[in-house]
Amino acid sequence: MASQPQDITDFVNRKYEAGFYTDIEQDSVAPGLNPGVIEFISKKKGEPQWMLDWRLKAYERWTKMAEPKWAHVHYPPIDLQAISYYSAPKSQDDRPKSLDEVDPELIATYEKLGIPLEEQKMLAGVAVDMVFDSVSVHTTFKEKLAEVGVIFCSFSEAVINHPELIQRYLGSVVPVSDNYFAALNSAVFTDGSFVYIPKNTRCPMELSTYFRINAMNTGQFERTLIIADSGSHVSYLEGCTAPMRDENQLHAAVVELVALDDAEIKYSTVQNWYPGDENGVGGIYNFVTKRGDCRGNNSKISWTQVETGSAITWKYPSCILKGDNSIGEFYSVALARNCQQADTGTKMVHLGRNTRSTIISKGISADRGQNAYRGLVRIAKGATNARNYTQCDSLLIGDRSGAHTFPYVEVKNSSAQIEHEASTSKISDDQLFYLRQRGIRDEDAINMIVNGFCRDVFKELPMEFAVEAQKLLSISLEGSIG
Amino acid sequence: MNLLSDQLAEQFQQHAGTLPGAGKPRVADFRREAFTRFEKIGMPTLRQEDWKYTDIRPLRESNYIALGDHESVASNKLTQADLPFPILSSHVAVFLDGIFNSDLSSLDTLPWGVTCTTIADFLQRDGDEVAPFLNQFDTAFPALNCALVEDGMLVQVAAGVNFNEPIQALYVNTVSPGARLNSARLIISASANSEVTIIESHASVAGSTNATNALTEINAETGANVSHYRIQIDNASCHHIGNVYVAVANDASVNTYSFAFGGAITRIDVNADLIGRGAHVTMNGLFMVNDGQHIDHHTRVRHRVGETTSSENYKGIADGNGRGVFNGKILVEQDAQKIEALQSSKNLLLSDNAEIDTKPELEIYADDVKCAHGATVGQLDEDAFFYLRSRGIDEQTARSILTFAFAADIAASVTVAPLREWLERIIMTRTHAAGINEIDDRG
Repeated sequence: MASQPQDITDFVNRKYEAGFYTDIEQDSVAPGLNPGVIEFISKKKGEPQWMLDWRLKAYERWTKMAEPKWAHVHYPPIDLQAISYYSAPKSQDDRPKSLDEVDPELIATYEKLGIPLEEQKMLAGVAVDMVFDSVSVHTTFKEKLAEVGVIFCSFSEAVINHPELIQRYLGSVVPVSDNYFAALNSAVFTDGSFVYIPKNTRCPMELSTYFRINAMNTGQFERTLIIADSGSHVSYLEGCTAPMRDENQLHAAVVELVALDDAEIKYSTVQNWYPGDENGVGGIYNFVTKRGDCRGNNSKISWTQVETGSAITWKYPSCILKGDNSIGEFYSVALARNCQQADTGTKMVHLGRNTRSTIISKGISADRGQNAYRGLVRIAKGATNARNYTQCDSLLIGDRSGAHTFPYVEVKNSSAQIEHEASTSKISDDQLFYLRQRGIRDEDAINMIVNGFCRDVFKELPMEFAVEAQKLLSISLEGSIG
Repeated sequence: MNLLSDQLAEQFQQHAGTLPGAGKPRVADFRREAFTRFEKIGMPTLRQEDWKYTDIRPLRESNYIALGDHESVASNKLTQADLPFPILSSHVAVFLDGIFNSDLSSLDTLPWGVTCTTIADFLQRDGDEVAPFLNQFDTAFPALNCALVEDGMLVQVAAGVNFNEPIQALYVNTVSPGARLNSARLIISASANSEVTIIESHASVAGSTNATNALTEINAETGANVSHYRIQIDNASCHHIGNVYVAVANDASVNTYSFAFGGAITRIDVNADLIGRGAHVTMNGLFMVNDGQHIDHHTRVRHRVGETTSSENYKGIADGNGRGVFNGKILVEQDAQKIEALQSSKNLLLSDNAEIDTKPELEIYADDVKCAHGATVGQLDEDAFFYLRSRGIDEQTARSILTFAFAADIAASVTVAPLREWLERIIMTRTHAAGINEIDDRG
């Protein structure tokens, strides 16, 4: 490799900008996992008996499962008994009625992150369901959503207020026994978001949750359930940052989406959790199960993700295309720098007739980052006229980076049309030279090339996120050069 | 322990003392270690990622004679006309159930610098000469072959010798009293700047129920040029396991083709290691499956040093209730810069009961690379089909023409004319016919 400009060093040495720690008194349970802890969580949240039973059943299954080892990632074994499974801000009992009542320190945290709630409310027109550690403390725009019948609340509220919906849909997309981390989540999840869009309703605004992991040693186990009833439409945004710390934190969320006849769900994620320092110390372990079920005919589920954070990202937002004419989409940009490892991709399971899926995956590996795309396209025997297009491209920056592709294609129906293509390369010297000789600085040139590389994904993001995503990426890649 | 491995252990204990090279400690120790490895690894199961799509239970849980009892094979008086595969070259070595048959072979007219030695003879020699044979493997079937192999062929080409005529090795499964598991072996050693073309063919006599465990090693030294054509066409009840290992040194180039027309279960692994700058490997392949057939190709190209190139093109056609599997991996090791690697897997699915599973993989640890792969699964182009129909060509013929055209480009790149013609004929027959067994595979 030729010597690299100063900018690279700047980029490599860049500190995590959102790294700070808010000191709030926590109401935590002692580390460890046993049925007692699950009962404690359930009781603390005032859950009905059926919810507790469901958790205990999941725990039962989990004890019989083994941690999966197949992913292309390396990490020291996680001691799940050393994690505290519940921590909630103190002021749980008297929940704030308005913004003024919210713990000022919480507000300060978000202000430091540059997302003041008021501004969010006014400027972006976004309802924000903040998850500060484990309990949802503030939900905005609820009234406005209630007008059209949209339910958007914390998961614990939904358990109390909408038990019939929860009982009907919880675990119907990701069963408790789906995988090791999903089972763990099912047993100990503390909170999350719940969305229900009634029939023939277009959700009037983009729904958004900001997750933030705060307390020391607390794994976060969110549970998200989104149900789009027949003919409805919703766009959901999820974004995360986490404060800097030196201990690996486990994050094992489960997201379930259900789209009934003619419904459409668009789920966008910008993930920027703490990736660990340049030596790979600290950082979040992000082991997430995300799955959407196109249960109804003509339904559509679209996943868009920009993954720039976490020490290890391990997630496969998937679509089960059960309904006839249903559509699944997956657009992803994943960045792995320093010692980050990402093993991400999607599964498109075609079951219904005339189902279509599109997969666009862009992986960027810098420094010692390892980025793997792992995907499955399965065409079942009865899925006539299924169509899939997959494109996964990788960009390598630095001679210690790695890019890997593991696509599985399984076709059992002769009317299927499946295309898969993948490429791996570095930023071409020709492109760089061209931009430089036009007087564009290295840094801007790289940004331009990388943004072009990711354009197919960024254009799928909602406006607010597209801006944030481009900013995130350029911060992360400032000055890097192939 | 499953059935076959128990039998094999017993047979190995019983015959180890009489296998070729048993008197030579190096060879005997080598076999023992290989068998220990095999036992340690165990027969593959569906639970292993590499065998996810191929269930070898029918092989694993059957009775096979792997060693000894060659008298019954010798009593099989086959003439060249009885062979289930054509003789495509004037230099040919025929192996019946793994054992060299001199009556059917002709290796007398090889020029200076090109030697063909049977493995049985070769292992009787002593000293460092046997070194090309002494490579251990970390997967079950190659290890098993190392332990059990009784015969096979070693082709050695001296430095600077360019030999343009192909050498054919023909491995035949015969009708034997009990089903046999035959170990087929081929070692190609091309010295610096030499050139050689090898046809490795596997076929079975009608009525045979034997299985083959073949192992091929190709070593191309600096500047050598090796073309290797591997053809497999077996009976509906024959299983076939094949492993090809290729090592390519500086500026050497190896073309390795695999044409698989199947038996019952067929699994072929092709592994290439590019170990010197300027090394190149071309891996091409074609498989056709129909009722009751399963063909699985696993290829792996490992770019171990910089400035190496590879190109890979595999095509598959699945009809009836056949199942075709392709798994191709390109691996670029750390610091192996300036790599160009291309891989393509195209598949045609002609029946709703057939299945194609393809998995093109890239694993890249260097940054200055250009690697790409593409995979498709689909059916015949409707427009092309309509075009032919509109010219008065009937449906069946139109289908055949298009299917043939899909498969023929791999065959067209074969430079050995008699082989190319045979391949085109067999592809033609296969694309016309509904069943497989009634086809005269001899063309």
